Amino acid sequence: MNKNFVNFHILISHSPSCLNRDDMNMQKSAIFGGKRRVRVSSQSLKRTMRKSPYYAEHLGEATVRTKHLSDLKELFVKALSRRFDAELIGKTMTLLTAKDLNAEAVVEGDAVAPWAVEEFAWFCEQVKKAEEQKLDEKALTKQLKEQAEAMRQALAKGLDIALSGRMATSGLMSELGKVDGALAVAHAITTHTVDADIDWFTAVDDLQELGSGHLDTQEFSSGVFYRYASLNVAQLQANLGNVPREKALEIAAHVLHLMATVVPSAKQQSFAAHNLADLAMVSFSDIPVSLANAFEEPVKATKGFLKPSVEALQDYWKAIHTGYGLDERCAQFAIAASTLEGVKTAKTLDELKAWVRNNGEG
Amino acid sequence: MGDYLILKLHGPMQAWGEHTFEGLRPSANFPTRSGLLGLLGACLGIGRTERGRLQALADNVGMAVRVDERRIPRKDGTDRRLRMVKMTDYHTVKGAREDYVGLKSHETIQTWREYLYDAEFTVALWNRSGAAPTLDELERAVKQPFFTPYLGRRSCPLARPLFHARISEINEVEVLKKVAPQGGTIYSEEKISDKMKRVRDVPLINQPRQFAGRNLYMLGGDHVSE
Repeated sequence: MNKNFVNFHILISHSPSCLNRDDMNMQKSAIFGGKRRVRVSSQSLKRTMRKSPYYAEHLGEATVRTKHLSDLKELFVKALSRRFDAELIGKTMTLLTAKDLNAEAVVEGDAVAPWAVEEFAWFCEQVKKAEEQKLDEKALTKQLKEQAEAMRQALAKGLDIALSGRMATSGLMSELGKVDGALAVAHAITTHTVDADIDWFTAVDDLQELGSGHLDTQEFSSGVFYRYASLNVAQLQANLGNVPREKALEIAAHVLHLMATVVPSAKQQSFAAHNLADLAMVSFSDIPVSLANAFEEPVKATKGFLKPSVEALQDYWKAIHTGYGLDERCAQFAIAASTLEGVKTAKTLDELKAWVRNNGEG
Repeated sequence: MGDYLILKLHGPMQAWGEHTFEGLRPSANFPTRSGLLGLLGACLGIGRTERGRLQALADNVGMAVRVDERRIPRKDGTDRRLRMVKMTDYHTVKGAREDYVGLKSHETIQTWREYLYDAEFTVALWNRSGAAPTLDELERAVKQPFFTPYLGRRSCPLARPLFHARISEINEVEVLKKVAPQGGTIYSEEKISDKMKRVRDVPLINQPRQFAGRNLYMLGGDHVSE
């Protein structure tokens, strides 16, 4: 049976760090089970995934998110100069954004929106054809609307739109380009309470004999974080122009890799908390359900926080899986040997990825 | 006797947005009608442009929400009360609109998004007219949703399945008595008490992002005197 939702449950321990901050330069936090936790926002996690080298290598070029349309036009002209002339690129952008991109002035869009080079090239192709057929703008618009599926296929090169979605505010994009994202990423929170430390630091001025050039403080902490995301497989297929399920599962396997390995870059020059996941569990299910409640009663450090966090996650999985009679297929990969009845054990992350690609079978 | 579909809204973070174009994105203290219709619409697979289906859903679903009073057990057999907390998340956005009348935009703005922590709600739904979608269809949809359901914001996933029960009773107050935990304030669209408040969260399907008002009747809880 094909299940529509892939759930990703990750436990990852970070050595002292400050991965995500608020406007007071303090770590983002949450109250859960009445106790303070440290939090990394979903926006921060998603951007880290999108900008990672693994993403570029396996999922293609990330989109360019910008509202600086004149700069974007320059970038497109450079990327597509062998395929289209600058005037056609300007005309296509004007159609898509309802802003005159062939004008001299610097043009800005209404909002930061993601742009994919290959998707844009597909539009250029259509505009070129329309010019050859001497279609007017209205006829071209009508034709484009009928080709939504082909356009979505062009999107496959800028996958993060299919994963994270796009709202467009003007021009043809607002009619054709709206996409509801297939991936939902939760804020990551610690499995335990955190009393953060404040690091008081000075910057030494080499040309100053006494005292320091700069004094400041920085909040930091270490902790075990629970990360959760769900992928709507049918929606991802639709967003990419009705690609086969296998293609969506291939992407799901890469999302698993990203969820288990990427770490936000904030303050990493000072803390270097480059850690990999300790446990990754994946389930194929009818409904996306997070296991965060495993940690509503904050985990107490017995032999550190990691071991009891793994136990709490597994106990909770058992309770919710049997309690609600969930019809799921589950597998996990853990650094420390761990088995759980009803959950397939993968020896490596690659083995777990292969299981995801294989529709959670085998 | 009426037929009621009982849903549980449970997750570490929830956000039930009130209407705003400003930098502060407040959350109501309990799920709004527009938010719940959005959640049900997602489960049913209604697209943003399918106004006919959205209107049919809005016309045919009545709702009551209970703010659950939660106690979590301690190992020593006692328990502690869990209180809902509202906290503000700081977030920057590039290119947001300067005001709600024009299209002029800022370089970068700061936004403050409110989230509810440690909140849990029980929702009773009923059919108003017998037209589509029926409670049976809603039950199927929440058990096997089409789009991804979430608790007001995409980054706020469910921590347990939405579906809790189907119960027949004389009214929603009696229905909710059958669902633990007891004691929280009930906000219903039906006149279950003389305590009434006015909220503005009824989506106008043909005027996106515009809302009409409705009456909510309150019963129970610490702050609602009997």
